[in-house]
Formats: sequence, structure tokens, C-alpha cells
Amino acid sequence: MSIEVQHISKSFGSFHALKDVSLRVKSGELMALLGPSGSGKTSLLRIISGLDRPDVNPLAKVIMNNEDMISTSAGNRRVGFVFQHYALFRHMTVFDNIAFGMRMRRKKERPSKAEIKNKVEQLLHLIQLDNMGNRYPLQLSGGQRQRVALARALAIEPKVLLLDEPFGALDARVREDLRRWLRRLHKEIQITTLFVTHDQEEALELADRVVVMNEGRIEQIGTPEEVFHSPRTEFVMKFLGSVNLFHGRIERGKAVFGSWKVSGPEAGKEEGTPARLFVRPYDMTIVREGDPAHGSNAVIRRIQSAGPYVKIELEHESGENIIAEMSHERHESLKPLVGEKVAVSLKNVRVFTEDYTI
Amino acid sequence: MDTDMRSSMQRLIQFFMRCITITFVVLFLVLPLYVILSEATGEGMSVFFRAVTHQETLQALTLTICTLFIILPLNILFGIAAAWTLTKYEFRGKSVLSALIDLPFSVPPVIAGFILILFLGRHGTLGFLLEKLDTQIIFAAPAVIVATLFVTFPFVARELVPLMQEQGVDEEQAAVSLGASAFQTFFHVTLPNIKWALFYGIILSTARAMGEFGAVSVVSGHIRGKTITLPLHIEILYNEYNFTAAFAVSSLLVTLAMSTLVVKEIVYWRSGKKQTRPTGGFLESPETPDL
Repeated sequence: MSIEVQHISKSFGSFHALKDVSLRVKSGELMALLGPSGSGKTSLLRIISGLDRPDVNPLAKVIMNNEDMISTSAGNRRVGFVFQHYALFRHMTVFDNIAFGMRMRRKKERPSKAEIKNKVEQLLHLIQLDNMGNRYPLQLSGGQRQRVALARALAIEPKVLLLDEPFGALDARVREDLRRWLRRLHKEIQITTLFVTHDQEEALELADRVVVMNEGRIEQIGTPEEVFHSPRTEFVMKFLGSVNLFHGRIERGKAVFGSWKVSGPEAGKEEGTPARLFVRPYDMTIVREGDPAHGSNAVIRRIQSAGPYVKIELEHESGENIIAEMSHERHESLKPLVGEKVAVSLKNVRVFTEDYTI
Repeated sequence: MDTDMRSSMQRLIQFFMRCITITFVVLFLVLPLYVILSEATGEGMSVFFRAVTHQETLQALTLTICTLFIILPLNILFGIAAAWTLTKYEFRGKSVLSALIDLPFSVPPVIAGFILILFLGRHGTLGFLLEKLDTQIIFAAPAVIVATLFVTFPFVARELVPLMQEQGVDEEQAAVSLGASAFQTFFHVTLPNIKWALFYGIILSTARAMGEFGAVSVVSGHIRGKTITLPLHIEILYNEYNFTAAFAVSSLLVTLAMSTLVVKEIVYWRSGKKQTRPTGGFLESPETPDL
């Protein structure tokens, strides 16, 4: 089932958490809401779930299955919500937690005891916690609790699944395992899923599409490849992975950053317009001075070779600190030294002026 | 050497601490209790029983117990409502409300009694209304109930607020998102989470209600056989130099107080056991994959 929100705003006093946000999640899609804290992603999720109400606006809509749910209560939306800190009922066993939603239904709609038992056992199997039904939440590890929370949400046979920072409170190892598990689970049950995260790696790895949010607005919606390789705004560029930034301006139809000149649609821009150049560390090539490459000069300050890449910190001639990455093979053959003066050339750069990008 | 000295020093300090505590408990709690019981039965058991079963004593006991049964449900209702409001909602003036709830703790009970007279007495603010309705509150049994209610109403709320604050609203919201109604959420999620604190609050306000003297003394009017509670009755007996009877009735009140204390301890012990069970039995078996 698809989810569509239109013209959603939310303010807390003078703070505007969401500013006229519209978004469509396709049926069966696994979508990530990615942004820093305070970007409004959790507010949006809670408004979709019905736990929070958006600011009053006749145009505001939360549409599920072609039906506007904006005035439907959270309990009647049939939305599975998984809370950041799980919010398991601490006085109930795992079994009772999962059965809760079914037991709370009106008598006419309530499944029989045997049906509930059956369903809970199915879900326990799905989350790989068979035989753990009589444990209490406090007796479980973080990852196990998270899965119980998921099973509890799935027990009401929701039409959509909403997850608030699903892996936020877990340590790195568990997070990776659980991420892969969730991906497999989603493939298996094909439920429209929207999850909130501030971890770009998580969003890029898990989601079919990513919504990048900042200060209550959507910056970009796209597949992980799109948002990563063709960021539409400076914010998206900066938020997804590390990046080097250079300041320059438009001169005679080119964006000029020291000895680098970039041409593009900036040509029409007024002379002297400030421009900013962004480049990812692995798109910077370091060459020895005197090489024919037309780079600009920098001094190596630190070399850090532990990890999948060799990280090199440089001080650019403009005085800005920059970071470059190279493969270990390249490092072996180049043998750069701390304090050495080198030339740096760039590829795949992105230039942003006030409203254009190259 | 050095560590030996330090540990023996520590043991000495520990010993002194224990001595001070025990001395204090014996001097101010055990001895008085013993005195009350021995004085009460000093002139023989028959005198004791006569005093305890005297008609005025029975009336005082009845009024005290009746007051208790009226104020407890009201305290529970108010306590839960107040704690809920203070912890699960955000609104302007919340801190003021929180401070106001504590007011009965800081207002001396005698003053509280006078406030009630000024408010509900015949010449008080609401006096004309009560006169029209032909009811009397001050210097009648209802005054005892109102005064007791006034001094005891923060107890339940005060026990619940810190707990509910710590627990937050996540579980309630989870219940709502799973389709539970407000009633179901309260009875299946909120109440089980606060039941021990609630019980503890009830016991505290019970103890306070039974022992309340100041406020009740002012508003009751000391009408014998009508508006006398156990503490007032004890005072009357004492003022009439009827010491044995005074101590006998005191022992009755002490017994009631002691039994709430015992109940409190049982509750405390049970709630402690309940809480430590899941954490205490942390059963993470090594072969469980930590997914």
C-alpha cells in the first residue's frame, strides 16, 4: 500500500519542525528518511503514524491506499510503528507483547486464543526467537528487543511499517547484522516500509529510495545512487559522505578556485558571484610536483594508512585543510612523505553557486 | 600494613554508625512503643479492654476508618490524574501546578484547618451556599473528611510522578499505535507499570490519614460521639487524666499504624523482587546469536 503526504507542516512553538512537506512512498517500497537531528524526519514519521498531528491546514493530507487518513486516530490507521527505544511493555513477556495488538481488538474482530498463539509463534519464528516467548524484555539483548518490537508491530497485520531510528541504540556489529536481516525480511513480506535514520550508510545500504531532509524540508528524493552521485544541493553533498570544500568565484564564464578552473552553466552568472566547489576525498589525485598534471599545490600534513584506504591530510595553498584518499597500491608506488609538497588534481567536482549547480 | 589500618578504621566507623542508628531507634521508637503498651495494660487487661471497647472509642475508630475509606479512592483518583497531567503532557504553568500540589506538605495542618473554616464555615466564603443547601460541613463529620483529604492528597501523586516521568509515554503510544483504546492502554499498560508506586502512595496516605491531628482538631469542633477521631479521642482522654485509657487507645492506633507499616514492607519487598527478577536473572545464553 502506498503512502502519500501532502503539505505537512509542524511547529512546536516558534520552532518549525516541518515546512510544507510532500512525499510519496510507493507500494512495497523500503524508503529511508535521512537527515541530521532536528531535520524533522521523526516528526514526519509520527505524523504519518497518527501519533502526532500536523499543523492545521486544509491542504494537509496523509493518504494511504487512496484514502485520506488525516483525521483517523493512530489506532485505526493499521500502521506498524517501531519505536527508537523499542517501547516494549516491560511487565509483559515477549509472547504477551506480540499478542497485545490482537488481544486489544474488539470482541467481534478478536482472533481466538489458539489463533493468537499460532500467530505469535509464527512471528517468533520469523524474528528467530522461537522458545523465547516467556522471557521478559529486560532479559533480552538490544537486538532481540528490536526484533520483538518489530514482531509486535507486524502482529496487527499493518498495511505500512514505520521504524524510528530502528538501529540507533545498538552497537555497530549488531546493527549491521540486523540491517541485513531487515532487508531480507522486507523482501520476504513486501510491506511498504518507511524508516528514519541519521546514518547515511544505513540509508544507502538498506533503502530502495532515500529522502534527504534538512531543517524541516526535503532536500532530495532518489535512489541511493542518485543522491550519492548526483546530489542536488550542497547539503546533500555534505551530508552523504565526507567532502572537501573550496571557496572561489565566477570569472569570465568559469568558476575559479585558485589554479582550478571549472566551466559549466555558471557562464551566465554574474562576474564575481561566490561559488563553492565540492569534491570527495577519493576523487582527489595526488601527484608529485613537476608532473605534467595541472594540479594546485598542497603540503602533506599526515598520512593514515590503517583502513581500507590510505587517508592523507593536506594543507592546500589557499590555507584550507583537505583530505584525500588513495588505494594502498597507489600509496605503495607513490610513497608520499609527511611535509612533502605535492600537486593535487580533481575529478567529479560539483560546483554550487547561489542557485545553480554544474 | 597501611591497608590493614584503613580497613580496621572503616570497620570502626561502620560500627559507630550502626551504634548511633540502633540507639536512636531504641530511644525514639522501641522504648516509646514499649511504654505505650505497658502503660495501656498497666492496670490489667480488663481496664484495657474496657477503654478500647468504650462507646466513644468505637465511634472514634469508626469515624477514622470511614474517613479512610472515603479519602483513599479520592486520593487514588486525584493522584493518578495529577501525576498523569504532570508527566505525560506539556503545558504552560506546569511547574506552578507541580508546586501547588506540594502545598499541603508545607502548610502546617493547623493553618490548613483554619483555611477550611474560613472557606466552608458559616461565615466563610461558601458559607451562604451551604446554609441555603441546609448542610453543615465545619464542626461536623464531613469537615474531618475534607481536612484529612487536604493533608493527604499529595501523597499518591508524589509517589507516582518520578516513576511516570522516568517511564515516559513510549509504552502508552506503542499501545495506542497497536489499536488499544484509552481505557485499555490505562489498564493494560499504565496501571501495571505504576501499581507498586501507587500502592506505596496509598499506604503513606493511609498512615497520614489515621494520624492526622492538627487540621482535624481545628475543624471537627470536638463533638463527643460525633466528630472525634482516634487521635482526638486520645487527646481528650489524656486531658481528662485518664492515662490508662489514653494509652490503651494509643496502642490501638499504633497497632493500625504498625500494620500499615508491615503491609508497606511486604509491598516493598514484593515490588523489589518483581523488579530484580528480570534483570537478576539475565539469561543471555552464549549460544543465542546476538542479532
